[in-house]
Amino acid sequence: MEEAALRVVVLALIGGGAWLAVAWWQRRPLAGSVLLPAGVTLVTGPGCSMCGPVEQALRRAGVEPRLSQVDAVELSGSSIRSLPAALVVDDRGTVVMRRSGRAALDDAEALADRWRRISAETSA
Amino acid sequence: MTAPAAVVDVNVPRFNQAMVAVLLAVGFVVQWWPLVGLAAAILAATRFGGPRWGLFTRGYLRWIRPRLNGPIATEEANPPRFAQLLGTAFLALATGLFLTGWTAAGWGVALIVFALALLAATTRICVGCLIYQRAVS
Repeated sequence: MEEAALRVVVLALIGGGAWLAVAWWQRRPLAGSVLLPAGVTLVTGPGCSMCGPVEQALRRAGVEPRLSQVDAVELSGSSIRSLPAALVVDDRGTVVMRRSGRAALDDAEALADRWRRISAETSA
Repeated sequence: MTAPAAVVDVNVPRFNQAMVAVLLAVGFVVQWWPLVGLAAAILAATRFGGPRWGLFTRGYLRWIRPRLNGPIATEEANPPRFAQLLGTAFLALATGLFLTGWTAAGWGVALIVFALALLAATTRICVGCLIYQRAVS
């Protein structure tokens, strides 16, 4: 019985090790990779009916979002309808605030405000 | 004009990989290597006999697919087929090692397949598919 329990632990270690190895591999910096530019990035996709209103709301709030288009996902018999994702990125390329879907629209002012505070801190 | 690439329901390879991982895990815990041979046989039957001979594929199509709502994503069939071929080869090798008395080596090979199958089933990162895509590009 103890040996079986030990083998379960071995399996968990192997499975966990594989996950960690892949996580490390996926997050490795690539030679051609670039950080997200500082500012507000709006990730849009196919069939995104809410992306336009979010873009306009961000402009009204005083920020010019950088648009990033994600390719279509192929589905059988239908196409995916994507939601907007708004990311506030600081000057180190770190995403400091993110809102997706309806929250991106509702929090457009908060996203813009966060970016203004980051800009002010950076220029100070 | 080229023929359209064959596609497969993305859940079919994932379900097969999950079932292989479960078989290998159970076999390892109870130290009964014929389960490794069984996994190899099922994978080989699916790969060379088609979905009609695929025990896991038939199980998925019969019990799980009807319960899924909405459109099902598809992917190109060749990468998972190649991964399945690799899995079959490695599990056949493990079975051969068990049969010749190299039990530890057999479990070593089987556990590599377990790790890769678990990874593919849970994260959709299919190492065999990546090897295929590298080879053809």
